[in-house]
Amino acid sequence: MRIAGRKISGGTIAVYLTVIVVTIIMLLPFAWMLSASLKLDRDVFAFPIEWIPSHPRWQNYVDIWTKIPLALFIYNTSKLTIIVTVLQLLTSSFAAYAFAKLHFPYKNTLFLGYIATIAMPWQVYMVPQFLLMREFGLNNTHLALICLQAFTAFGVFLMRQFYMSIPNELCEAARIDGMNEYQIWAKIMLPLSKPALSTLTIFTFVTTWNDFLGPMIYLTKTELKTIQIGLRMFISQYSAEYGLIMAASVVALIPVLIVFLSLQRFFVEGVASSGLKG
Amino acid sequence: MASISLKKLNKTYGALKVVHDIDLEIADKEFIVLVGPSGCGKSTTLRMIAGLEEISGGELIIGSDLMNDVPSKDRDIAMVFQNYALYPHMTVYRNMAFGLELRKAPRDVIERQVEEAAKILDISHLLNRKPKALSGGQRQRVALGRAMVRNPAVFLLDEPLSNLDAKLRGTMRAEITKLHKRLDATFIYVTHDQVEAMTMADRIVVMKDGHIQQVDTPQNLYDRPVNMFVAGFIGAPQMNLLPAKLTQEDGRFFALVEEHKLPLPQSFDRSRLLAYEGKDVVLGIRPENFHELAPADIDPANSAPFHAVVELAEPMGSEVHLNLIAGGRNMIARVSPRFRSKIGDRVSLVADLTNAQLFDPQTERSILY
Amino acid sequence: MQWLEAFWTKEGKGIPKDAPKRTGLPLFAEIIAREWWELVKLNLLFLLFSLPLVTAPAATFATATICRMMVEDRPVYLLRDFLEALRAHAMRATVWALVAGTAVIIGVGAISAYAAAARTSLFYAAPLALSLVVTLFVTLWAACFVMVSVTEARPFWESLKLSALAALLRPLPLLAALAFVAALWIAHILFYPVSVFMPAVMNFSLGMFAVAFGAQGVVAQVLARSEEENTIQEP
Repeated sequence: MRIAGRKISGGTIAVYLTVIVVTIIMLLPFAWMLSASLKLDRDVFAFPIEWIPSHPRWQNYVDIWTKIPLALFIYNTSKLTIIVTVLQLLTSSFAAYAFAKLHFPYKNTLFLGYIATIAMPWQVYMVPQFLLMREFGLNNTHLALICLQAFTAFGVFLMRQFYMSIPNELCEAARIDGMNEYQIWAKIMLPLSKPALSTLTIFTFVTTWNDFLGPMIYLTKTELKTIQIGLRMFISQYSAEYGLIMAASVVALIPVLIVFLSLQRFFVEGVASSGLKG
Repeated sequence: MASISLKKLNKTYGALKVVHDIDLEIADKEFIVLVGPSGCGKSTTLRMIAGLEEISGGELIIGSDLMNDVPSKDRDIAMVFQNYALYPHMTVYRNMAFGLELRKAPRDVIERQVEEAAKILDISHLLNRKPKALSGGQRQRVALGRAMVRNPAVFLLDEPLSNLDAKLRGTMRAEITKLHKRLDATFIYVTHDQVEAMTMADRIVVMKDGHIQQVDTPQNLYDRPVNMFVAGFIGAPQMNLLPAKLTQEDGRFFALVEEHKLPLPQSFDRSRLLAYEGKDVVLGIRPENFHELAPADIDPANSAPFHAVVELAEPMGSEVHLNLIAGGRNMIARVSPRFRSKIGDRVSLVADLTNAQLFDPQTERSILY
Repeated sequence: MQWLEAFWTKEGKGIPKDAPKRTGLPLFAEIIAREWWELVKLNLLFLLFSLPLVTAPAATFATATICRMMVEDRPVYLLRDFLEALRAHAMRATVWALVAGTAVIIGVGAISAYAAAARTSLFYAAPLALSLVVTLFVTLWAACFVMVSVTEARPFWESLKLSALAALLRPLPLLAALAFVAALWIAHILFYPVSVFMPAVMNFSLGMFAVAFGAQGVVAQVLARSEEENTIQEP
């Protein structure tokens, strides 16, 4: 078949069709969320679904700020997310540098042990961890969540794998040039690891921003809550204000989208340009 | 002053010993080439001098100071790596200036040094570019420039030319030699390529399995190899090593190779030869010591006819490499391109034994030196 | 991720030494393609140092210094060179901003006044044209003054004289550069919601770069000429 002067095989068309269908299925819930955020509660579950509300209720987007302290929740979430992300980037790349480029006894054993913790689901140890943190007096503080999430085995693993690809000679040249290990990390490794750092930023930012269980366990005071648990305040014992929940969810989604869209370029670029073997 | 001495230097990884008690004196401003097959410990030795590998035993002295535990940056050395190791995120200028910046050199000094080095290496037009855009040869020059700007007493070069194509390698070889003359510094150069070693070195260190085989000037290595390994490693095509028997007739020594009776020169040390009389030896003859006709300038007393079957003729333009078979042994002769021969021909050459070598077949050591 | 290693060691095409150097627009595009990230950082730096407002003129001069170095293809240490230029040109930049700013405001005022008048009586077309030309020249002069000042340290009056000469000698490339600056801002306004980050990301540095690029030739020319005159006069 020829389209616009180019030869296109049936296989290509089939692949494209499949991809398009899957994409639509993936995007449908978002579309539903957007449309529900502009409806009255009683219309949300009306069937058939009215995708574009005939009377969009923009008031929902005003009400969410007044019915619950959404601004405070956003502030709390941003604070937690930014601090956790920055700390994770620092600790992960720092530890990864040691694991990838330095020599010390039992390095590989230590690394394997650390990596093995990825296999352990958090749900298994979250209660004893909570009891421990309570003993430290960190119950109902943001510090508890920051301390828990500032270190991640996955981040160290990702960064280490990336650093392994950077030739050792680069570090050696830097050592001869007169840098100590901290300078090598800061001036050579960090600037070179933009693709890996942005990947890790995306992961960490999205998971921390969307984290539900952690804040749920540790934060019970309203003034400490994050968006994700704050949204629950729209659900009372007998009713749930779905229109408002969806509107607040849309608002909560925006920062994640911004971070993803602005960083995915580095991510994709790094992978794409390095895929070509020279 | 940057003389370097290695005293019983060795390197072990766990139970594995890769460098065995190396003793070496390198004079100030000398161009030393460490050469050997891969895995012979030459790179490890260089890296110990650079301070990139810990020294397991022995002493490393640069100038007059013991350097075993001195960090690389304080050893007054610079190193050029095989893959150049340029910082990818910095421009060429910064790559070169970086070492000086870290040493807090004044800015005008940095600028002057970098510009001067760039001019010498002909890379002034690249200063504001990133390494990503540079070709291999250009990266090589930048790597050299980065080493130069700090004016180190010792340059360490680890197979710097092996990533370049053959033509570029030839030019860069000459450039590095010129650079050495110009910079007046000690150069230690590691390579597996004996051509690089022969053309560039003041003295060559031949290494094998972590041991030094021989240290000498290129010509001496070529003329007087101490063992069969050095004899075979230096020179291309390789020296022919033929099993022979040593005999004495009328006060003259002969090497019997198959049906050939080859007279050994009178200049050979008789006392050493006597010990091997009637025993098996290995006779070494360089390919260029076979001639199609006896040239006027060789002593007929030291030469003898030699017959062999042509297996293959490789014309090189200026000469022809004949792959021969004599008594089941492969050997190579370099003859003039005018010499006509077909594959399968039995040819008759003249073997000149003036520069012949004799080795003990058991110890593989030279009998003559 | 070992396959990433090629990313660090892959060889490039190489930069031919004797290739004819590009000129004009291709060179302009080439430098921007190479330095775009630096230009973005420069723009942020400019905005940061313009925040206290009184430092805005000095930041302009510093931006011009950096842009000039980029045009000349010289190594730039962004922060260091920017701060140095900021300090070096602070006084002169302030005077420049006051004088040039006043002049341009008066010019624009005159233009709008005469334009309003010209609508009623054609008689005012002549002064309108005159004030247009004068304002344009003053703008060119001001731009040249910045470039002359950051290219070579000369006494104030001499720089003023030389920049007037430069603006008269070859105004066309500079006019093109100013048109480019105008285009940048018009694009920002036209595509408003989409282009909301344009000024934050590139407008100032890219505009200044265009000016530096346009002025470079003529500035070098007048400076060389005055150098010649000085050497002739001295003995």
